[in-house]
Amino acid sequence: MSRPFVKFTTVLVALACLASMASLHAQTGFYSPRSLKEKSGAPSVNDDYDDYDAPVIDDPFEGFNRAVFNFNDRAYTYVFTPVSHAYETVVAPPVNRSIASFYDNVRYPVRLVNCLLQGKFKRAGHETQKFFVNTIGGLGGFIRQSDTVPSLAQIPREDFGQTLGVWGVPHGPYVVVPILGGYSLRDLAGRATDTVTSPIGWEYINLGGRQWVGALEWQWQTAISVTDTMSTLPSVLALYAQMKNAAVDPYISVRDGFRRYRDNETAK
Amino acid sequence: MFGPFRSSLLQKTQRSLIALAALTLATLGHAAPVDDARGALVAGIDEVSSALRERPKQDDLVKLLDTLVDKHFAFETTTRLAIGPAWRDLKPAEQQSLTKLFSHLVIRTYVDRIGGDTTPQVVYSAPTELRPGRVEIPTRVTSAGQTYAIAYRLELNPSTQHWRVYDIVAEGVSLISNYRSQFDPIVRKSGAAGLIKTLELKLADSTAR
Repeated sequence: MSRPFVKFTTVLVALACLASMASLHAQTGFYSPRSLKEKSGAPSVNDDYDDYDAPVIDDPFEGFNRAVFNFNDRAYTYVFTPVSHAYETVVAPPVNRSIASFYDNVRYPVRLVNCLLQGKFKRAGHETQKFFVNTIGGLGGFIRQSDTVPSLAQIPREDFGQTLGVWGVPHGPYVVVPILGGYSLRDLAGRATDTVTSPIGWEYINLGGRQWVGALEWQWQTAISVTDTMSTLPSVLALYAQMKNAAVDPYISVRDGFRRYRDNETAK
Repeated sequence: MFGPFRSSLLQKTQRSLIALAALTLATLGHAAPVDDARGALVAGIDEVSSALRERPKQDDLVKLLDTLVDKHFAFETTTRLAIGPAWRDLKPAEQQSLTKLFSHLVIRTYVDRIGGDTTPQVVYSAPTELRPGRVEIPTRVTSAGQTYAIAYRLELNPSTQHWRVYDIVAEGVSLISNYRSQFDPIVRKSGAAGLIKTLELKLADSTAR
């Protein structure tokens, strides 16, 4: 199980590199997507139009992406939403918040490594303090005790997609993945890397033919992955439903919104 | 002997005091607008939240929000910027109906969003000037254990001297720019008429929902 996964990640990273080259190519003029910005001659009274510029999103597979988007929409609406509602009736929101906090705390190594990879040493220190405060003072991470400490309450979360962005790797083409949703190739490679580098994913790492961390029974593995996913699913689906409700073109709304959100996170 | 001098000193002091007061008032009058922006935003959010807390019926709520939104939101600016430079070529009637349709869509979304039971906690930061007569006020909104960075952009109406919200930026995603990227292909393809039709269909669909 583990080897193919590592291979998959390697392929993704390789694809991301290819994508970067393609994007550089695009910047030189070929395949350049149409910019929404219109250069008008004389500046008019209303030149505040320039305050709002659409990000240039490279979407060469738009037709395919829209098809996957529609498939995902049905899956979210008819499968995941009912399941998530059922989960919410069984697990009360405060309990679920504790579960989500626990998994968030467990992902500390991912945030730490990416703080370090981006040279954000002060933030790495804060992350470490937060981890100890929550693990020791917050009953193993189930209570986010760090929220009461002003310097630890709002630490921007770092991940590998952001690290790649800080390193100057361009986004590459936009890809909508079944179930997981829309990513730039850079963020997809980042997410795959975060999945295997997170302690929850250490099970997948296979070095020299043996499990690196103690192997768990498959039932436990499944239970861990499922509760991890379920703890964040209700809020993710609620956000998706809101965006879809408000949008005249949900595909573009999600594509634009997610890209801006990621760029904002990367800049932090 | 000191009489005349003293009185002239008194007069001078008085005069300078008056001048100082006038100057202070003038400065205040000048500085007030930017500071007022936060007051206007707080008042607006409070008014809308308390209206929602009353839990009126859906129809009444939409009607009520219509008036409140007109008071606190500059939807003409929001719509104009969401449509972009193509706005200049539109007929006034098209501009009006687009503003109305778009504001209804946003109000409806807003009402849907605030359906929950919890009252969010809002912490306001100091306004920063974006350009003359426009400010951005960053806030941190905490709701159900989650904290979000939401910035409000307000503009000063020169005639009424009243600040109104024209854009909301949630976690780096601006309402105007998100709609601009959706509207742009529609306007390019089928013009203002096409966009009006799309918005009408969307509103009809949301009503049916």
